[in-house]
Amino acid sequence: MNVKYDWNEWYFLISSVAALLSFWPIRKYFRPVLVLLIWMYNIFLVSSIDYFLIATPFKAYYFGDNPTYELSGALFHLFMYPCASLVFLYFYDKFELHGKQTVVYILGWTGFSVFYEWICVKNNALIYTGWKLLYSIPVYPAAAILLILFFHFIKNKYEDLAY
Amino acid sequence: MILFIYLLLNGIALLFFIKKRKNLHILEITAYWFLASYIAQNFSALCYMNFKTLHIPENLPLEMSHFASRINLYPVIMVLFLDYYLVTYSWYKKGFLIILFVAILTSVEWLNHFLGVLIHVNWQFWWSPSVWFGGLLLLIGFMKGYRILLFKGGQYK
Repeated sequence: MNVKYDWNEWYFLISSVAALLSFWPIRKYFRPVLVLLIWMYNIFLVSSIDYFLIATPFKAYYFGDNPTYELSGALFHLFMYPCASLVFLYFYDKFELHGKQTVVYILGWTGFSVFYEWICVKNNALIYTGWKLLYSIPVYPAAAILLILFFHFIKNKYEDLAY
Repeated sequence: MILFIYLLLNGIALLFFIKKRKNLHILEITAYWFLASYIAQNFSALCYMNFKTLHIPENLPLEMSHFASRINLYPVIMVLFLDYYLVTYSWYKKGFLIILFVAILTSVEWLNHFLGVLIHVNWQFWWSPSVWFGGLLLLIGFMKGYRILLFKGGQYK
């Protein structure tokens, strides 16, 4: 490990705090079990994908100063992605989006996510060593669809259990 | 050949788990699976990327074998452990179950070593059972808290 506490660490910290603050007002919208499951699902998914693409079998990018497993990268896994996913699901569920509305909603989030990833690259928080921003464009809608499917699955199972 | 062995091993473990009559609710299996995989992946990632005490050869079939193990084989074994633990009541049977599953997880880890998938470097053998013992204790603790949250009833939101 060779980690310096410089701008990219601040960037991870600021992003994670911003994500937590965006989640805070909606924290009571979903039942705690659903929040916990969505949180864990995100941590599992992004840590699996990142380990797959950062270290083995591919070395397509890395977070922060060098290709080690940094605490700043773990902050992203633990807070950034789960909070963003919960905010995404909050609007999806609250406004009961269906059909074309969902497609437009997912496209909007894809645009935002790609823009945010570009900002990460510009701030040296994310270093590409083979990956391209273009590759991320299909990843975000696929992740959003999977998240919606997972949400419906756990919501239905929890409703069965609760009634 | 190695990848085939791992796919077979992963498939058998998964099939056994699917066919087994389960004591855990599906929302429990989901949560414990995520946590178990996170434990296995963090153990591997920290030792491989930071401490350099584990080495994964740069060979795609071997790397895919390890990938399958960390997202499927280890979680299956750890969730199976919780499934049995839930219906084990006496302390000595629980102790035996923990020892048995620590031995299984340590054996899988060292099978990786002997097949060249995950090579231990400057590794003390006792670290392996200690890591898995800690992982299983963490899972038991999480299960106790999670079950209270899951089964307290009420409407879903």
